[in-house]
Amino acid sequence: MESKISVSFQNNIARIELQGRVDATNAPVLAEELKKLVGQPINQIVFLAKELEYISSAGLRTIIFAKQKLGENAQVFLIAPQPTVSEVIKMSGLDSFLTMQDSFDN
Amino acid sequence: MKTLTLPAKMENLKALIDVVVAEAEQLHFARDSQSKLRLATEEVLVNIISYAYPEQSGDVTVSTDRIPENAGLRVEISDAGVPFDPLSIPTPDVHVPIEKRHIGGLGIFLLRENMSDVTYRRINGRNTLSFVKYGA
Repeated sequence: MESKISVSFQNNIARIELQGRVDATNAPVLAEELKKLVGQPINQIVFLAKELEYISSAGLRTIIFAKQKLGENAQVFLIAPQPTVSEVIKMSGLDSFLTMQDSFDN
Repeated sequence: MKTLTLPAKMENLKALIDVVVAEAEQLHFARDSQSKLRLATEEVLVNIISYAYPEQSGDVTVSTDRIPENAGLRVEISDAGVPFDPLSIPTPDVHVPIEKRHIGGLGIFLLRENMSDVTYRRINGRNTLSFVKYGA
């Protein structure tokens, strides 16, 4: 699957759709997109991960960055992660601030 | 045994990782095991690409070796850069609250969690890291 990242912001919700792989080659692209949202009134940061097959520490760092710089008070969601992805998330302890759930209705 | 040597540059990351993933595919490793091998290989390579050659440029070699008796795949990654044992980095505390989280060391932590027999040696002027994934 081709890797694709798209970020949108509407109604205080940042939506980040991740497809394929987020690794060291494209994590900087994601980080740049997220930086554009710094200062926005964000209540929720939603990573849509259904089509995400793989994430490395470079990708995990951008998720940590999102929490640290975009919204200390924002809730962070990871929607529909595949088992290989959710395992890495848990192993790294990111599930301490990131809510994993099957769907996001909003 | 498969071997590939290329300049330690981000543009070569994919080709270097593909050596390992292709071999795992040939061995019919499950998708999850392939993914873990990809992860371990990426983490080691990214460290080398980022830090091994601060001044001059240099190469990195990825080689794989099958271990038939227990259906394993050994991966060895070496560079001729600054002597550095990535296994000497303290393990990050993954239970520290996110605001206080230092995000270094996570890649090597994931390598150690997912692979067996992770070893570092300095051989003939090269940093040589090897690890094994056993069984499909």
